Amino acid sequence: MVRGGAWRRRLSTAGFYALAGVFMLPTVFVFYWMLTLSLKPQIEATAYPPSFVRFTVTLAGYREVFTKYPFFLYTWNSLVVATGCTLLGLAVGLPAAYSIARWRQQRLAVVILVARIIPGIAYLIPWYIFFRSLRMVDTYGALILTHLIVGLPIIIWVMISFFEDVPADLEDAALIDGCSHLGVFWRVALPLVKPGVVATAILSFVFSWNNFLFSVILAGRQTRTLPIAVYNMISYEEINWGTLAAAATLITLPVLLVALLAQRHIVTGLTFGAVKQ
Amino acid sequence: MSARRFSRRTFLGSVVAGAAAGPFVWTPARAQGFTWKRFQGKELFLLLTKHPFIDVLEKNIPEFESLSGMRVKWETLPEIQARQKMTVEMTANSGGIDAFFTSLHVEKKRFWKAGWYHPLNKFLADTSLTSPDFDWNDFTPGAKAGVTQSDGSISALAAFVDANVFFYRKDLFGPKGLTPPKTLADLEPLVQKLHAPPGTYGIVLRGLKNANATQYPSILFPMGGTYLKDGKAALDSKEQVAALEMYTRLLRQYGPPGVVNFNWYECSASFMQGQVAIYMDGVNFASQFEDAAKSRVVGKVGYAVLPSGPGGHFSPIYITGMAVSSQSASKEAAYLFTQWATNKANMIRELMAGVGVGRTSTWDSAEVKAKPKMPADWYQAYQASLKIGRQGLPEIVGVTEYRDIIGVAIQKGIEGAPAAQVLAQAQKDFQDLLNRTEG
Repeated sequence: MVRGGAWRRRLSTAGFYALAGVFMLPTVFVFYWMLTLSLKPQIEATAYPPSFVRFTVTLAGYREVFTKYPFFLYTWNSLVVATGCTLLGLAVGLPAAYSIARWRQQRLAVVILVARIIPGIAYLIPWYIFFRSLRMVDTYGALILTHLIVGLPIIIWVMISFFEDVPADLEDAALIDGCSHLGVFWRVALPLVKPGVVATAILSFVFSWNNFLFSVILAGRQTRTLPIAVYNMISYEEINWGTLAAAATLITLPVLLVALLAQRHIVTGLTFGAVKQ
Repeated sequence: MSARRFSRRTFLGSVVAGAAAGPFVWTPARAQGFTWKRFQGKELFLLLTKHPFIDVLEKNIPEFESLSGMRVKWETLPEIQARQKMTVEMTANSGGIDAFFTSLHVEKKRFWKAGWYHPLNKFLADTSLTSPDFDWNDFTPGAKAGVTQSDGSISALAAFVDANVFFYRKDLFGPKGLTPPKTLADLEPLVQKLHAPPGTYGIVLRGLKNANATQYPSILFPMGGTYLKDGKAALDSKEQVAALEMYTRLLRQYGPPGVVNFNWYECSASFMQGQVAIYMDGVNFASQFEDAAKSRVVGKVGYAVLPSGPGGHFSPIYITGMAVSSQSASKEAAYLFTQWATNKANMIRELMAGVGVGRTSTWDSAEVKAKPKMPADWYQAYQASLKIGRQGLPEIVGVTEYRDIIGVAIQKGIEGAPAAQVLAQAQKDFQDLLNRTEG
């Protein structure tokens, strides 16, 4: 009886992992393909059908990424811009989302969403004129501000629902005990939505990290970000696959690291139940 | 006595004054002769495109800086992104770009209508601005036509000239005693003889819509077809029907599987992997064919001029040039750069690196002959193609839209739709486009 139960449990665990594996396979396979491509010489990269197991390993692609292009500068630029955009986005977005959730400012929320719906390219020319007259083209400031148009609406919209889930009774209790509205937001609401903050921070970071369009126009040689670096491998009638895949692999790594490190905070938390309904 | 002394003093005084004023007085006289140093101390900003021509040129920009005494800053972006940046900068009227690399086969009329090219006619005629050895007439007629607008204004100096040529596998032709086709009528039987799937497919050409529009004229022009007739769309002529039938039949019957979605990348990759016997595309691909790190057919590729047909003998050409921005504050200085970038010395360097250029004098250059990077038949095929070069795409504002229109027709044709039927639709769409954007 007991052994049968253990077996069943083990079987269901195996089934879970098998199913998870099946669903993950397409995603993981693409990464694997990218990785093999980054290690292949060009002549094997273009072979058809492609070989995923046996191929000549070369680090030429990685070498080229670091020797032919200022890859560290691009990485630094991307880090500064994505971090700046995320921090500024949180600083503005969290109070905004809290206020929208608490005082039901639905119209405001829709207006913010519209900013996200409008295709980014529509902003480019006005922005360019604007930043040029402020002499801000090719500065981190311009990139961080423009990336907010992508990051901020996401932060606000995701956080609205998180703040709505915070029981109003908890906040009322804090207010009765003499806490200010700002104090309630800072000491009560914010700690309870920490998992949401981490999740949106990752999203905002990734969106900024991957943003290409704004960086092409508003960045110069000193502030160019990583996605543009990948496009450097595409020339007229020629694609340098090994180098391109090497750059893509290197660009993906930091994002994966950030997501893995932050994941812990998403899983824990959510310890609601402070109020009995 | 005192009068003489006075006059001597005045004379001396005037000499001193003359010496002091010298640099200013002499400026017009100095301008009469050409000098690279004329704009010494200025700074230029260039918007360049990721391109083999630019790869070679970039390395030599410091040489221009020391020659001219100017400082040059530049940015190199992939073509599409460069075009986006260009559009934003020019629409914002920023004046930030002095000179730019321009794909005339796409941008020629669009940028010209927008007024972004500064016309170079006066600069070229001005002996104080144009180096005596520049020689405008050294460019082939096709290259000159490619940079000249319908009103005669010259929008750019031709840099890279891509011509469509005939690539074939010598190692497959040789044993069977085959030679490159002289006419279109020879082409199909030849392809048939070489077609031996799955090891070798007879021919590959671009099948994907939009991309295929630059290879289609390799058949269309010798067939006698044109894009426009008296300013009206001419996509439903009988020459067009014959050309589209042939292009699509070749790919349907003798192309590798999936060719209907092949862009240049898939085409050149399948050729370099040794899977195809014949490929017609831009001459520029050859430098990849002959690179052992990228190709399995090094030394096995033959190069020939495209076959002729009932309509004549043509090679579709695509020109990229160096242009001066109409918004630049230093147009003359920027012109010095464009002139240097396309001068004989730089063009020889390009040709030695295997990048095709449109200057006749470079073909017989001793330097190129002494150290050829490419096989001899590549140079021959390229020269012969330039002589019969014709702009490969219609010179209209909506080039990209046209490419989509004909591209869809070709794709449908490859999938088996009758040529006359798909071209009737394309004709209608193309005329609509012309009505909307031209005139």
